[in-house]
Formats: sequence, structure tokens, C-alpha cells
Amino acid sequence: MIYFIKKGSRLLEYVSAAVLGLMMLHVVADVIGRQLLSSPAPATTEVVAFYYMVAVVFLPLPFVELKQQNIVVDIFYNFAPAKAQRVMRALVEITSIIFFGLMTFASAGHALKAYAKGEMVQGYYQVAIWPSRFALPLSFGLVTLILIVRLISETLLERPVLVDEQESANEESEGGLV
Amino acid sequence: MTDRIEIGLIGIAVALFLIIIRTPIGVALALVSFGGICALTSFSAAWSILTIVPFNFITDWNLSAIPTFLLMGYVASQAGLTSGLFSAMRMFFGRVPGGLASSTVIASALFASASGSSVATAAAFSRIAVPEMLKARYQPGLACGSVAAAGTLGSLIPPSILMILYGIFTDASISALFVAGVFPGILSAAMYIAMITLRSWAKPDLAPRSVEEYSWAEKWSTFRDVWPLPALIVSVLGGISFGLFTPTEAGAVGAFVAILIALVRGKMTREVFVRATIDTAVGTATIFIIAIGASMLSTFMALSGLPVFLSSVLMEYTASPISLIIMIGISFLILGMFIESISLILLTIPVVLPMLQALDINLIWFGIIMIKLLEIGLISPPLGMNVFVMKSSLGDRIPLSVMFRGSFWFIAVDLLTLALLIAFPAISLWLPGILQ
Repeated sequence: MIYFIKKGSRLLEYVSAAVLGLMMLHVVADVIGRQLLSSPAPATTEVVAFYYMVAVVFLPLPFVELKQQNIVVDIFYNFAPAKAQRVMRALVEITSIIFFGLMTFASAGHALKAYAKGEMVQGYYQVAIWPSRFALPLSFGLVTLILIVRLISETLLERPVLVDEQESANEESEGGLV
Repeated sequence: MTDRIEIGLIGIAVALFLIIIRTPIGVALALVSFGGICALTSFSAAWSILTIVPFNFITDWNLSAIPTFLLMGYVASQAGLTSGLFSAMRMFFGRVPGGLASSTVIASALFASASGSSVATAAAFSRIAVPEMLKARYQPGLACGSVAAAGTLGSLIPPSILMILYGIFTDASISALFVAGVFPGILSAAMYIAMITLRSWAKPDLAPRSVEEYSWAEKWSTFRDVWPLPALIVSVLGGISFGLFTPTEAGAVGAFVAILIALVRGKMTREVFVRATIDTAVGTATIFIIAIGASMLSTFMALSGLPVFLSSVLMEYTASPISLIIMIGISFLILGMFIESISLILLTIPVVLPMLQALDINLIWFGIIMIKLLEIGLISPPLGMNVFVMKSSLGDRIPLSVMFRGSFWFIAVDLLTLALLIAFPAISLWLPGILQ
């Protein structure tokens, strides 16, 4: 189960990275096609918005949660005593489980409805968009699982199972982003 | 005060509490908005917002500029396109008083333009420039202050992720924002350099004069190493200005050009590419989860009527745009000490925007002022992100207190720059005006 969670998160992360590369190429092809050959790449805006963006934004979420790279304000946490920190962690994990649990159900329901009616977007091109809706429940569900495992193993039992010492040392992130 | 406004205020208080106990900011905003909308309307209305907003918010073609610009920045720094900048600059400014610090400012400004990110700029230069300045026996405070402060140019000099987000949430033109940031960015850098030069000239032990001499051959070979970054910047900003591609497409073009340049220089390994795309995907997800939360917060705030109420209260005291901007400025400087810039911009726009519109304040001008304010927050205690990033990449060599003391002079200069930007809107608005 733990193995599945870790592998799954990593797999989604790699898919998202690959889609990112594809998005770049597609947009560049569109610009070059439009400027030089006066024939833009087909359905660029639709595919970018409804497929690439969805994949790039939502699929990395489990990986972000696994590596605890969410943007947080931790100045107060850092100054709190160890006991209070544990309470804070528990509260935050429960809050996050509620949120991602709700999101999983909400998005799953919507994805099934979209699938049932074969949702499309009508533009210059007609593009089916229902498949990309399933990315949301998949990612949100995995995030919820990670949070539940973390709440039980790390915060309540204090026996972490998600952190791999060697791994986390190797993948020390390079500071923030923006 | 009506019940609706009370619900709005309670919502803000709960969100702040959740943020303080270290809840991811996006989760805190979204969950509070969900609860608030439940209380204001009905469960089913709130549920449908939870269902619709994430997908509908993300599937916007304009937002694709954010991951692609992030990718451009990661490729540029990981493939070493930016590494020669500092050594090139020091050859030219090394002999001016405080020259190494000024070189840092100029090199950071160029780097910032390629990365679009303040924190990334500070992280890169604390490793490149601080050790060199310490070796030249610069005062540690000046060395750290110049790196932290120069890093803040990242969001002001285009392209900038903060500007894209601001433009999307306020409906202001992103290309106008980009262009408007050019002079304020240059002005900020020039003010830093003026301050560094004057202080080092008045107190020579702050920054001992460099005695290094370089031959023309050395200068030339260093310069051959620096061309990639100006080439990248010119192709991105030039392409936008000449209408070859839109600011949205510019990110993809920039990332592509960065990869091409890295390939030409033989620096594009499989590892660099994988690393850059993985980091970009993580960065994109963390930014957008906050943006989704902020977008739900906008709906919640609009339903509660809190922004309109707040602006009517404020208007009783201040009817002029300038005093409103000063009041917003002060609250931003305070909030900016605790909350990081993307979250702060997304958190406050829903509240501030109605007031700006009521007073008919130019949104491009205000955007530049807002970004400058956020940047000052990045170097001011207790939560100056740039300073913390520098601390984490430098380790125990320099205490945090020295770093913050070093950034004090830069904050003072920034406040002066800010006053100029407020007093003379033309600094920001002149360039977009001609280009239209």
C-alpha cells in the first residue's frame, strides 16, 4: 500500500513533467506554424487548456504532498514547543483530509457525469474534454490517502512510513519558487 | 453591520488561524470559502462551487504562461546559462567602490529577467556572489543585503509570474504590466547601485577596493560565456513587443529557446531536462492550489459583501486615491512580513479590487506599486523569504541577524523608490503608453 502510494505519486509526477514538455512544443509549433507557414497547429488553445494544464496542475499534487512542498507559513510552527507542533500537525492533517476528501467526491461525481454525456468543448474545433476530468479525483484521492497515512503513522503513532531518509536527503529541494 | 459581513469577517479570521498553524495556504482559503458559502447560501451552492471552480479555473489558456515561464527559468539556471554573469559584471565594475555588490545587482537583474522569480534569483546569487564578496573582505551585511535585495528585482523586471497572476485576477493587460515593469525595475537597480557606491565611497572598510586586473583576452572570453542570457531575454521581450507571439505564448517560446541555447552549448543533458520539468511541475501545482483557493475566496468575499463594506468604511476617511494607496501600502508591508508574495497577492486582490475600481485607480500603475511592496516584504524581518532562502543556501557562515541588518539599507532605498513610483505614475505608465 505504501509502496503503491509512493510509486503512484511519482508516476503522476513524471507524466505531468512529460506533458509540460509536450505543451511547450505544441505552443511553439503553433507560433512557428502561424508566423512562417500561416497554418497554426490545430486546436492549440483547447488542448493546452483542457488537457495539458489539467495534467500539469493536478497530477503533481500527490508528489507535492508526499514531499511536503506545499506553500505554508511556518514561522509560528517553528517557534512552537514540540507538543504544540504535534497538535498543529494533527489539526492541519485533519483539515487537509476533510478538504481533499470533499474535493475527491466532488470531482469524481462531476467526472462521471461528464463521461456519461461525453462532454465536449465547442470551438473552432470540437474537442472531447471528459477524459481529463478524471485527473482531478485521481490526484485528490491519492493526496487524501497520503494524508491519512501520514496522520496515523507520523502524527499519532510517531512511526513515519512515508519518509525515506536516503531519498529525502538526495532530493533536497532548491529553495522556494517565486 | 449585517450578518453577511460578519460571516465574511469570521471567514477571514478562520483562514488566518489555519494559515498560522501551518495549513497549506491553498487548502485554508478553499476550505474556509466552502464553509462560508455554505453559511451564506446553501450547501448545494457551495458544493457546486467546489465541483466547478478547480477545473474551470485551470482550463484557461492564459494561465499556461505560468508553467512555461517557470520552465524557462529552471532550464536557464540548471543548464548553467546564468553562471558566467557575475564574473563578467565584476570585470567591469570591480574597481568602482563597492563594485562587487553593484555587479551582483546588475547580474541579478539580468538573471531575474530570465527566471521571473525573486526567490530563485536570491538562491542562485547567494551561492555565486556572497562567497566572492566575503573573499574580497566585504562586510557580510553588505554582501548579503545586496544579494537579497537584488533578488527582489525578479518580480518587477518582466517576465514575472506575479504580474501574470495579478493580470489574470484583475483583468489588467499582462503585456502592459510586463512593459510597465521595465523602468521601475531599472530604477530600483540604479537606486541600489547608487546607495552601494556612496556608502562604500564614504566608508571604504565596508568594501575594500579590488586590485584585480583583467586582460582584454580574459574579458573577451568571459563575455563569450554570457551571451545566452541576453539572447534569451531579447527573444522573449522582443517577440512580445513585435507581436510575433502573445505574452501567454512567450513562456513556451522562452523555454524552447533556453533549451536550444543549452543544446548549442552542450549543457542540455537528460538529467537537466528531467530535473527542470519535474521542478516546474511541482512549482506549478503549489502555485495553482493557492490560486484555486483564492478564486473560491473571491466568490465567498463577493457574496459576503465584505469588500464593498470595507471600501465604504475606508472611503469615509479617505476620498483620494493617494491616501488609499498609502493605506493599502502600509497594510501590505505589515502582511508581507508574514505571508509570502504569491499568497498575499491572491489573498488581498478580492478585497482590494473593488476599492480600486471605486476610485478609478489605474490598475497597471497599482500593480507595479503592489509588486514593489511585496518585494520589500521579501527582505524585511521577520519573514523575509529572500533572506531565509539565502540563509538556507549559505548555512551557518553568517547569522540571520547580520543578514537582516544588511538588508536594512536596501529597504530604506526601496521605500524611496516606492515613493517615486507613487509620486510619478509616468515611471510605470510611460512605456506601455507609447507601445499601445
